[in-house]
Amino acid sequence: MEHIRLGEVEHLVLLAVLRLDGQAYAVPIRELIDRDAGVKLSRGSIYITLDRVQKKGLVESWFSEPTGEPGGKARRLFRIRPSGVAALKAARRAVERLSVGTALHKR
Amino acid sequence: MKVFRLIPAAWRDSVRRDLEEEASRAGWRGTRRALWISWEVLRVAGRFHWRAHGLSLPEFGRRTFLSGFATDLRLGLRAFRRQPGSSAAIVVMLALGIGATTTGYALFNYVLFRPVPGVVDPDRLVTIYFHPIDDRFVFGAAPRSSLAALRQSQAMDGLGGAYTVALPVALRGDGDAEHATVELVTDGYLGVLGVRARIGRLFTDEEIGSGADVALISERLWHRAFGGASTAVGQRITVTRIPFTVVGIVDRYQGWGSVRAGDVDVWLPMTAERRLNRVDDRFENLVGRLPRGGTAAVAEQQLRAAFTSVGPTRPFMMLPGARRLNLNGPLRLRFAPALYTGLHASDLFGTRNRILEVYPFVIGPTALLLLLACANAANLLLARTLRRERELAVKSAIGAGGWRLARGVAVEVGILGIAAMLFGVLGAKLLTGLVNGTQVFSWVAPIDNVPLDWRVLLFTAGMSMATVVVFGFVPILAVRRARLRPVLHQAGRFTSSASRFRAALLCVQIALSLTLLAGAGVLARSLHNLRAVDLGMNARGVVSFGIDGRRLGLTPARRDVLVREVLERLSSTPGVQAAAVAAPPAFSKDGWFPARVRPASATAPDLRIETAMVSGSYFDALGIPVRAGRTFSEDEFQRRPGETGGLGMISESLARRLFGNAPAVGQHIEVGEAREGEWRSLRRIEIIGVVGDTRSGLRFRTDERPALYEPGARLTISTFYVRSSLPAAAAIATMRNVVRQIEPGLPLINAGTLRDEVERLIPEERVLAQVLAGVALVATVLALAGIYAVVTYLVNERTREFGIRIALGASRRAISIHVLRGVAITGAVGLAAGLVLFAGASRLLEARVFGVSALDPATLVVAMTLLILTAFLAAWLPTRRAARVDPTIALHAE
Repeated sequence: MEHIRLGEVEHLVLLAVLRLDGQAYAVPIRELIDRDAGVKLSRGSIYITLDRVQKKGLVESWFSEPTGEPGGKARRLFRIRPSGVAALKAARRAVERLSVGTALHKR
Repeated sequence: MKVFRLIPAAWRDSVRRDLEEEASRAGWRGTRRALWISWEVLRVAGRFHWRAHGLSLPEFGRRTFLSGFATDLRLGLRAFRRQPGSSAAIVVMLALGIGATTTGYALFNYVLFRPVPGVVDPDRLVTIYFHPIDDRFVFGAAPRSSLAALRQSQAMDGLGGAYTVALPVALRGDGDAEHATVELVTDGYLGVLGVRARIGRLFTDEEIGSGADVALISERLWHRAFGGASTAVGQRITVTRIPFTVVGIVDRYQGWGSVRAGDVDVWLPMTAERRLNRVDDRFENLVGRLPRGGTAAVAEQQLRAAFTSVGPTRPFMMLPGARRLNLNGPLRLRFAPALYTGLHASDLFGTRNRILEVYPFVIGPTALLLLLACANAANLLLARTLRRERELAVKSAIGAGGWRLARGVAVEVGILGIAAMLFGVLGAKLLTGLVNGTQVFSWVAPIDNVPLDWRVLLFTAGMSMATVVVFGFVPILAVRRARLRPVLHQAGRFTSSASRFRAALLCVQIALSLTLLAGAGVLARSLHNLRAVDLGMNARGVVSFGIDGRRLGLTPARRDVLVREVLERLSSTPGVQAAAVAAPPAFSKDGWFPARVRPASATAPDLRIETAMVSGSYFDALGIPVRAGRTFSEDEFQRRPGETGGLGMISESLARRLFGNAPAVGQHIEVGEAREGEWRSLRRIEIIGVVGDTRSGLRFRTDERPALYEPGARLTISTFYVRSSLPAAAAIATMRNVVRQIEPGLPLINAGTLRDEVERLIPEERVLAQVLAGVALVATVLALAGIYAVVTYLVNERTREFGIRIALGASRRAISIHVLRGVAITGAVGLAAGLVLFAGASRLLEARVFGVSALDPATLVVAMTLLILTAFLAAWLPTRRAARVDPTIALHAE
């Protein structure tokens, strides 16, 4: 199976969606990437990236029940699809293979 | 919020929800919340938009330089900050051009559209005047008798009449009098105009009815004579030595109408005429105020009806040229909106046309200057934009289209344009202040506080917009075309098309500079010629002044004695070599009295000539050579007109035309008139002397003045000429003293040197030459700076090339010649274009220049040489630097 190559932002966003496990939507995704990866992305970048990875079939989205929170409307939540997981694994494997023999490689 | 629509529908709601959640978490409410959300929506929408339109962007990293207009704006401002020198230069250049054109237009606006100061609601004012039935000539006057008749109708909210006259006014006790314009007004006149008193009050109807000794003065006079003190009210002033009490200061209003509009300093009740010993039977201004909502057409009908119901009124009044104004025939009421300072209401002397005639000479050069500034600024901007070629190339490489890059430059252009406009208005404010008090036309009041009103500002805004387009066009285009050049890969530069643009701009600059410089040169030569012209007399050491005893109410007998006494006293004053009197003055603007003469002995066709009355000493005092015969004796001068037995002196040119080479002295001529081809002799004159020709004030540009001099000088204004060894100021003070002792309270008219009298003939020429010279100077400096900047840039750009050439054995001299040849070619094309442009512009000059062709070759050669020299100098400095460069350094320049 040929894996879809991930852009760097796509990589970060997919990992965040995976981490947030069913509670992923734009706001916490951006915060997580900022907090754990130390990368500040613009809101627009998050949205267009989510849009793109969904079109690539790496994630799927649905609308939650409307909440009583401010705004009140339904959140658009994201969940990773198997092909997304595969893509992340492939990316990781690629990184690991590449780092064999370097100081980065875990023995 | 509508902004959400910018986001693709699939994402719209969730983006909105997310942003609202974040805003709530941050605790923002109200406006702040709305603003933040709007801003973020725009940013998000921007990302969707660019992705949709296929612009590949680096996903990572900070906001890139391509995030929209805001970024362009930021970059534009940054460019402004980073290159303060060139930015300032561009702004200053454009501001100069904009300021100059704005000033030009403001003057035009001032003269043609200025509302009458101090007048309320001018749209409802109409002037009513009558004109001769048989004549095309429109005379803006109305007979006195018409006012009562017109008032019978209820068509107007008010009617009033007035006329102005210059009279001797003394402001303090025994102080010297000066002529001031006095407006005599009927009851209701000031009220109809809506004029108010600034301090004190206006006239009451009783005061006007009874002819009380009350006066109003203008704010200007109040400041000049009383320093703006409120104690001025209650002071006594004298008009023709009759005392009046000041009861009020008039708020801003200074009269209106066609003659010396806005020059009134004193108001008197019309009934004060009796006290002043004046007789007049007309109004200059008969003004009515339309009822609110009323139209002039309806009011006119009602007035006509009232007029016929009154029946025939006083039948006539005299008009110039002895035409009768017939009110019994078909009635002619003429309405004109009394909107602006005199020029619309009754443009008696074609004022508007004369101003419009001069106008191209003011606005033309300033517009050329603006164009030049545009070319210069465009060149600078182009140079500095292309210096950022790497940045542009990078932008281009990551997908910014040509237009996208051009937009960045356009924003920069806009910023510079706005700054230039602001400074331009500021400059115009200063310039209009400078022209305060300038008298361009002797018959229009001096310029006073030119306003920069909405019309002017609208003009400036339009002009600035045009400027931005003109000056931004080339750099924007150049950047758009430049994107394809493979700048990134090599050290070479994308020069060719940009260089062509710059060379073209340089040509434009040189062409415009040449036009302005040559125009200024031709006008300056013309002015110099006018000043240096042989007057036919010796003007050095001659001062002159006029007196007008009639305005003081003196009887004819007294005026005769006065002239004689003044002349005698002047002649016997120490230091005075000769004193003479004449009427009219030697260089009267309208010339002397026109007349027709022919030899008494023959039935030769008659000649049109000018005649003046002079004392025998006139020729001595003015240094006019007596070619044959003699001048008038004291006795002949003293005799009353008609008693002289018809003696006269004629000018050489008249002698030649009448008698050819035969001696004129002893011959007789007839002064007469030709009616329907029939000659009618009025008087017979024996010629006792022939004198040299002088210039005529009317036809100053011709050197022949067929003239007849007759003895005497007892017309309304007698002008005295005094040749002395005293300095002019001392001589005038002495003259003043002499007159004061003989007739206290009699003002001197136009006291000054004979040169001043000549200078008064050519104010338009003087002003035009000054305007053009100033503009041309600025233009030349601009062109110089432009040439220098561009050549410097061109040369720096080719430093590497020069290095290679030198390394390959080219001599430094060859390099210099190479560069200068390029400049020479550009310059030659520019000069050729300038010649064509100037040839077109010179048609306008043709009618204005004197003693020099509008296409004067000498001036053109000088202007061209000057431009060529400056161009080479400007080019030579950077070239020398380039040629000296060490090839190894040059090759490492990259």
